[in-house]
Amino acid sequence: MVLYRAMLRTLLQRRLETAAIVVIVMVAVMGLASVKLASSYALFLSNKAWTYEVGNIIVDGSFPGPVLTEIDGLEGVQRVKLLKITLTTGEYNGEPVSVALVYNPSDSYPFSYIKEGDGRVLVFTTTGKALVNVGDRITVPGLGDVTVEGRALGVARVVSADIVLFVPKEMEEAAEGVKISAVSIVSAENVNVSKLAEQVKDVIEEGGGSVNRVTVITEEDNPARRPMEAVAESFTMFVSLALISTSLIVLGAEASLLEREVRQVGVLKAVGLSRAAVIALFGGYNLVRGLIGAVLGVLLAIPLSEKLVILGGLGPHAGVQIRILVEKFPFHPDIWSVLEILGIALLIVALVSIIPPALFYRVPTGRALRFTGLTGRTAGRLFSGRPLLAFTIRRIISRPWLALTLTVLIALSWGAVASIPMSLRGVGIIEDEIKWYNYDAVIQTAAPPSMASKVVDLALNVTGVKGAEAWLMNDGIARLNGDRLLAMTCLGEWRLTPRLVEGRWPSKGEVVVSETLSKDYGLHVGDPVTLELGGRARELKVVGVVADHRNNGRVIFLSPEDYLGVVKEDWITLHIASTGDPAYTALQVKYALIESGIPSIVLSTKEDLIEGQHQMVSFMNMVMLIVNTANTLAGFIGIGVLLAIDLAGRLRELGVLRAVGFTTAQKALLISGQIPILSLVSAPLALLLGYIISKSMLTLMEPAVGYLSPIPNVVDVIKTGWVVLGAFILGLALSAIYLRRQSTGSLLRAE
Amino acid sequence: MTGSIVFEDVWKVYRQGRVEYPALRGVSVEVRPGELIALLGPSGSGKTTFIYLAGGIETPTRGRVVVNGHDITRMGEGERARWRRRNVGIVFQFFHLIPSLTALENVMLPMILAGHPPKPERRRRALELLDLVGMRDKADKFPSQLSGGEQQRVAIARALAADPPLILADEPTANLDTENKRRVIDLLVEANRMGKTVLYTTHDPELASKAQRVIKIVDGRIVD
Repeated sequence: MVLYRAMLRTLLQRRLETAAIVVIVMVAVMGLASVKLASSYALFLSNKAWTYEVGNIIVDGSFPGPVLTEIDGLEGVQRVKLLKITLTTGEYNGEPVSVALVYNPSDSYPFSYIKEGDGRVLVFTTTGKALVNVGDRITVPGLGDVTVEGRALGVARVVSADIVLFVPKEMEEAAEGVKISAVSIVSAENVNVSKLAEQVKDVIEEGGGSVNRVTVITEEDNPARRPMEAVAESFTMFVSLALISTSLIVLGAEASLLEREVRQVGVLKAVGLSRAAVIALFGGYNLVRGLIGAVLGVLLAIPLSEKLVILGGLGPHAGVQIRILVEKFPFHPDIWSVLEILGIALLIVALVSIIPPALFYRVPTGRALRFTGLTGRTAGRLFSGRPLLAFTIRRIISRPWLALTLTVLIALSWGAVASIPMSLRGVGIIEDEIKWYNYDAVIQTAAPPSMASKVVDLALNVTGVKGAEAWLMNDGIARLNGDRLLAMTCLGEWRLTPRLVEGRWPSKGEVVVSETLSKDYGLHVGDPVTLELGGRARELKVVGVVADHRNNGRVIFLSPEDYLGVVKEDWITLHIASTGDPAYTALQVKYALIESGIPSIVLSTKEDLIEGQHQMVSFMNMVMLIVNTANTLAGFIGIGVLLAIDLAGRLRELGVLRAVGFTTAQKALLISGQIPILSLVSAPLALLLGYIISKSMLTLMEPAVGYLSPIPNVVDVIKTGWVVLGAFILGLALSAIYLRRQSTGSLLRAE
Repeated sequence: MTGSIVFEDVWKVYRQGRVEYPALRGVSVEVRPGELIALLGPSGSGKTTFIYLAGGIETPTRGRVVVNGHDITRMGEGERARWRRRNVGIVFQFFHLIPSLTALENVMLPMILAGHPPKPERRRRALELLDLVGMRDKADKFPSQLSGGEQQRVAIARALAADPPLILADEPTANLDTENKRRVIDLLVEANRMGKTVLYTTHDPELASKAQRVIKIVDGRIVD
């Protein structure tokens, strides 16, 4: 009991060291816990936005009234919603616009939105920045002038149009244009959604309705899922590095403490304490500190996680109003995740607390008792006759624990930073990787596939258009040996399509596969392949291989005939290539289509596509910058703590140095001089670590940002050496500040 | 004035929390250049404090300390460190050699700091000094490989390394056996013969008797 009291006193005496370790453990555990909790919450919200808000079964077609009641009565159906939309062309501020009039009788489901202002006509926006203001007038065929009475801030995009208006039922019915009816169904938990979708289809057809398309939306289909997981995994990787750094700091702190208190270990052994008792006494220090830090870290992570999700939005899941989602699905931390993180943290802290006293117990009692307080061994005869250099080098060798932990900490900090230029190297690379975008703009129309040649001709007649191609809005789904593939087609000439690597574009009964599929399944031009299309097996002939560009290479191209056999009805998506300004040309094409009565909207120009990729890269760069800054800070704090412990352990030695004429600056240089020397050992480790991290990052990021070249820029990698310089300056400043406050006498009297 | 020490009404009070411990109480004394002085007093009388003040390791709470004509009470810590390089050599009770440096390197260290003698001569001079203290054959040994007496002799060589006019020795024989006590005192006498002012502290009247002058100190006051 007396000994434990003594240990407790020591713990309190080392307040600064204790505080530093508590804070470091707290920050690392908080980082890990908040990343884990926040990422799982963000993914949960994203999946909700994807499946719950839109519905996880969407049926396009026509639905006689009683059918809906029947669907509602099916087992496994949680909610049914009929949504009626009229796509039309209108005029706003003297310009032709595409207008979608949506009859949405529910205030909350599906396509949840927040109503801002009263009124029956609400302009809908998913971004919160409505193009149209309340009070504006829009001319709509069949309705005349419609005045916007309010705003609806939505969770998910309803339909593509220049202006989306929520209107009463009679207005939607009176408007002239393309009519769409859709039923959106949310299934109950643990229901076989595909089976339920078949049942819904049967009910509609038996009830006299028709079904154009049944879309089953699962969480796996969530396009934001993989990028979000990639972000979460990269965050986890970096916070794990921070946790390793923290473990090393705790290990190094205790080992350094024991290195200078080895005589005390000797005394305890001399009076008969067992190994277990010594481990308990000295390891108890860190266990207590680690426990406090870990618990505080987890407690702080809980509120932080929700804030992180709100602040960061859903990252790659753009277009979702996070505020609405958070209100609808409040944050509840998963208690098992919390306990898991706490358990991992405590296990690590316990391990690093036990190792040093267990090792120091092995120092022979006699040797431990003869320890004078001045550390240092006859660490070789390196740099014999050159005292200043020899002093620093031999001093490093004489305290291997400190040297080892400092070396690894430098490597971890440096490696994390070095991984940036090795993986994401700015946005310039995207320009090269986006070559397959050989069209300038994408225009979404409300024209059916049968109007393909008319739409293309209209576009080609616009000045500045050098090419136009009719694609379809939706991707079909095909399966190859159970592997889910996107099926695409082109309704006209295959001129602006992704780059063909080999062969030609498909006719009926033929297929073009991506490079990845060709490689993974050994498919070559001329080979037959059996694909599952529209629920049945079809044998097609491979006639070409196309460069990877979407869905991680899981893409096939079908002829329009085969594609439309899978997808009954679709809308034309027009790809155009221009000779001049793509944005201007695309707008002219849109006007031409609208004037011909085809509701259309410019989805994106090539610049938008590139910008989208840039934004993704910028987002990932920001993610890496944040986590690397945190990681480097953690590393620096660790280096600072260890240097402070080193200083505290060599006070008398420093006093002697000052007595023989060393100035404070020279002594600080001796202390901090360890860092550049150790960095020579850290450098290969840091570069290897940076390479491993960057490789992992590339693997994680590829689906999110495209295809990145793994060739690092050597100069940029070398520049990351600023980490060492930073650590050196930090060490210099810390040592100088500390030593300035100590008189030579007090140093010489130090224990 | 090289090798001179002047204490004018010097007080040194240590504080631990609210408690004050006066180590020196109004000491006024003068040591002339070339003197061999023993500061004799019992444990806790203020001998070490006297040495630390004379060496500029500490500053007085009150009064003035002038060494080699320099009022070191007016100097900052860094300035005193630089001043010590060429003006004072200190021998500690517990030797305080740098454990990671060999005997030779320990002796070379003050020369490097002082920039004196010139670089090519340092190794030769260090060996000469080790020869003087009878340690040349152990020049490449580390402190942990030397006995207490040997370490103290290396410490004396280190104190002489930069050729300072003043040598201060704080209980240099306290941790040594009789034979080594004699050898260490002989070396200090030898240093004095070389023209150095030597001031050493001891609680042993017999060792004090080897000095030209003995200053007695009790409870922080000079009594004789």
